[in-house]
Amino acid sequence: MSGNKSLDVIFQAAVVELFQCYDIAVAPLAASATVPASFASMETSAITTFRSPALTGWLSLSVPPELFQLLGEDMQLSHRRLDLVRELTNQIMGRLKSRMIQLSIVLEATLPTLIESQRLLQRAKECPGLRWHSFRLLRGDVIVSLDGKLDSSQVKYAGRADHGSEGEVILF
Amino acid sequence: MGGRCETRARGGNGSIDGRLPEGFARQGKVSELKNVLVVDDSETIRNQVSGALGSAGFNVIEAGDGVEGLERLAGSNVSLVILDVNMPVLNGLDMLDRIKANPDTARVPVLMLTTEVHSALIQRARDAGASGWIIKPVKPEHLLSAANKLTS
Repeated sequence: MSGNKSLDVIFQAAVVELFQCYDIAVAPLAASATVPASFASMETSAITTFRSPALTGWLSLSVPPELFQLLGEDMQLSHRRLDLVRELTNQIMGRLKSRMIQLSIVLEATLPTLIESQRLLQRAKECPGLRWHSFRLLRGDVIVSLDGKLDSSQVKYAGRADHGSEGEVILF
Repeated sequence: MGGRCETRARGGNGSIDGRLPEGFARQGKVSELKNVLVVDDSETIRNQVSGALGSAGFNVIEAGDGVEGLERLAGSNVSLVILDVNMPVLNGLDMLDRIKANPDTARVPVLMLTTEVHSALIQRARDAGASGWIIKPVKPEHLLSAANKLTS
């Protein structure tokens, strides 16, 4: 499996696991180089960038209004919706970091920021290696894009080692 | 939504609003009102933590970054600080250093709450005097259990 195919699989699994933690089932569709048709129905997007010697790029999360309905009635306020999309992007980035550490890749990431759909599409046009990942909800899709080329020569499997994992509580 | 997640033996999850299972709050309620300062740039996370700890009788004070967190900490009788790592203005590890460098606040336990899993960062926090490290998303009951241990 090529480096970027591996990245697709790792990334999709990370996103599925994150939404499971919020009791939301998502089904990954095949990753694509073209913008999914459902992107037109996205309500909010957030973006974060990351870098390391082996992998540098950015990822974005775009969500439809249906996602907020699944998350409950207290999601009606728009500022809470925006904050939630930023936080979910942060947590996707966290999961990507966590999985890359197992391959001896330590990513440094920026804080997620909101981005308008048109700006996101413009940025995507400038990144020919970008992959669009769609995840089907009960109603609507969540779309995550990932730009970055994995340098397979720098990948060295390290396992979980002594690093932490999501949900873990470590008291010193 | 309640928020369940079976990840792995040590794993956990988050609920979006921090609500606890029925009856849980009563079991875990603290006997005297204790102040917990939650510092996170995400309102979503602050609401989760406030929901979980507030239901159990803690008084939760919120701040959106490290500088605001230090302001809230000064002059407050805080029993525990729950601190994000990656924040604007002043990040959590730098705020931790300032808390521990100040004789007035050095004894307050600090629990880091973050998506970061890197052992070097965890060790850095431990060396700086943090009391624990929680990796998001966290189950409300795990958060409450840690808060009870650190404030007892």
